[in-house]
Amino acid sequence: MVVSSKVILSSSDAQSFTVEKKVAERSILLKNMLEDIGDSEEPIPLPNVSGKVLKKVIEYCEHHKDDDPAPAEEEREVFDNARSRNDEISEWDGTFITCENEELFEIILAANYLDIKPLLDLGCKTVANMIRGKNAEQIRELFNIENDFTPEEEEQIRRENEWAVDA
Amino acid sequence: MLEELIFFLFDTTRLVAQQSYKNEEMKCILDKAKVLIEKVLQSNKPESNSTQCKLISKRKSLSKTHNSYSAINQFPNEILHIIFSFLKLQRCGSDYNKNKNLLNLTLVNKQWSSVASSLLWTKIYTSDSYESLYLILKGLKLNHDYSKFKKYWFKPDIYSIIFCNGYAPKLLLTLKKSLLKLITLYAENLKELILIPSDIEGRDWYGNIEFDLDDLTEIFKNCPKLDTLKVNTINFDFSNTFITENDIFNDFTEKKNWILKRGFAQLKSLSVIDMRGRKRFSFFRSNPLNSIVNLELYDIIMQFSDSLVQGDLSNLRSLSLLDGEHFNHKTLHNILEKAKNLKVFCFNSGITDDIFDTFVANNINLEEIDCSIFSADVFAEEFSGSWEGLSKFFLSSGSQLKRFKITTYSSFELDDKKLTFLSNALPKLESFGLWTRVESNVYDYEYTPVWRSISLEALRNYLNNVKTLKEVYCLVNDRDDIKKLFKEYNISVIEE
Repeated sequence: MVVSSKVILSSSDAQSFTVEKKVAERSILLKNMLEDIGDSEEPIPLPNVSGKVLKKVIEYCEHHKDDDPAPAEEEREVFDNARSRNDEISEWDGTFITCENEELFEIILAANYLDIKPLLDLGCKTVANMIRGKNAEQIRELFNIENDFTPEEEEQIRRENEWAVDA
Repeated sequence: MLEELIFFLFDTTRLVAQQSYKNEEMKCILDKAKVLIEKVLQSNKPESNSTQCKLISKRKSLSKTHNSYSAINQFPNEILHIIFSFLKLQRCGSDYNKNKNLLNLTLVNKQWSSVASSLLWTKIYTSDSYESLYLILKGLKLNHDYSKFKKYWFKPDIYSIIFCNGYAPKLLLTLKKSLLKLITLYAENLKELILIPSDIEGRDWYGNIEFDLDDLTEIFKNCPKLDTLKVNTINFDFSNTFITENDIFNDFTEKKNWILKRGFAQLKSLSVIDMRGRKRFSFFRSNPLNSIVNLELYDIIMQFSDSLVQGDLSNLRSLSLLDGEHFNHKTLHNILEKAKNLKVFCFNSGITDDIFDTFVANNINLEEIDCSIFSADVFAEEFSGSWEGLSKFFLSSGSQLKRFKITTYSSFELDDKKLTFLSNALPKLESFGLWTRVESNVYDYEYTPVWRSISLEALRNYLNNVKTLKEVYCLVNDRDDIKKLFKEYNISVIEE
């Protein structure tokens, strides 16, 4: 729904959020959707995002509403290449993303679904920082991930990547 | 509840009509519709429909089971790829970080392994020993035979090999053979091959891997997608033939010639260090560097440069000519006549008014000039550049200049008038470095503080006008007020 530059977003659990169009357009998905639909009375359903997570996502987008627009598709490669170089997190972003693991993962999934690159990167950087320096077992334990390798498969992978141990 | 369901189904129908949403999204919407239907049924007939109650109960139970897994298990490969890319190897000075982070990720589970392996194998850094290269080959062989994991694995693609050679000379030959084997077998998608001398402190790195024409031919034959080649030594002393200008191609087979042409037709970036003069790169003459965008040549000796200008250089955007004691300005003039799209120029053989005149004459609007480091060989040469030559160049060709670093032998200083001139002539400057080097009685040379006579007012005006400026390379000595002003404008001062 677009009224006076406002957009209504409806979460998977039927919570409604009214946000500025400018804020909603931090999401490329919503931006494209708004361009396609034009002015409409309908709330925009976001079936993949719960109200709790959508509230957080909106908080992020509101804070960053005046940032430079997300890079265009053709600039994505450059943007992606820059990822490994830029792993700093601003103070506000750092505070924002400090939450329970599950909430963090849901924010990442929502950012991916809504196509909000900077938020996706922020979430991914945070997870990367959690992973850094941990061995496989510690990572599994931290994130509750099941080890689906047989011992033979695991050994095979170790041998395969042996070169990287001391490279 | 019923009303909500009707509205929801209405929305669903609208989305279907638009046909522009992902299947995944549609699946979620339909799932939600099912949940709503169940809620409606439950609210209307809570006790009477036992089958329905069982179904709802089962769904709740399934949902609970699902929630016992972390949401991280739902991450698609694309998200894992982004996370892992933050842990990728980063060059750190002359050393490379370990692969340990990625290595650990390959052992978490099959999905993580698949994504982490693809990143690990995309860019191979090897720095320490012949053994590491051997292990790479072994790993590739294992991976290649890995049919039983085909579901989860894909053959690794090597896009880049960065290889720091810091080996005892006796190992070099074996090393080169292994490297070529690696390339021959597994580098069909290789885009970048960089062999750089290691400068790890305290280690000898004498001994370079020398490539001859056969080696290069092999590389180009097996790496059809190669667009960057950086090697420290290339020798063209093939078949014991001493190459002269006239018989350079006499020993070429037709095939070799074709491969070479094809190879260079793909090549976008070429860096050659330590070129031996008598074995010239004369094949540029018949295999011009039409596709080359970035060309770096070090230690250019004799008339190699003349053969360079035979080709079409219209794609050339970055040219570095370093340590070329016999590189002459006439050749440079010829190059610049052809390289109309040149944007970056690095040169350390003594910048002179003559060179600036060449830029002006050819109407080349550079974005970057780096002439900040002189080679020792040309140190004794007399610098004939002047502020007049420089300002003439700035006036005619400086409008697009973003980065400018130059060391001169002429002792001239910036003053308020020159600074005002610069703010008009170089309006887009982002990085500015200007040194003058003069002979010294104590040392071989010393730098003079070019900025020492500037008034603060003029500098402030300059900084107000050139808002793009981000960094200044300068020697300010006792002018702390200048440093302070730069700081006020958030401009980095690099005193190198």
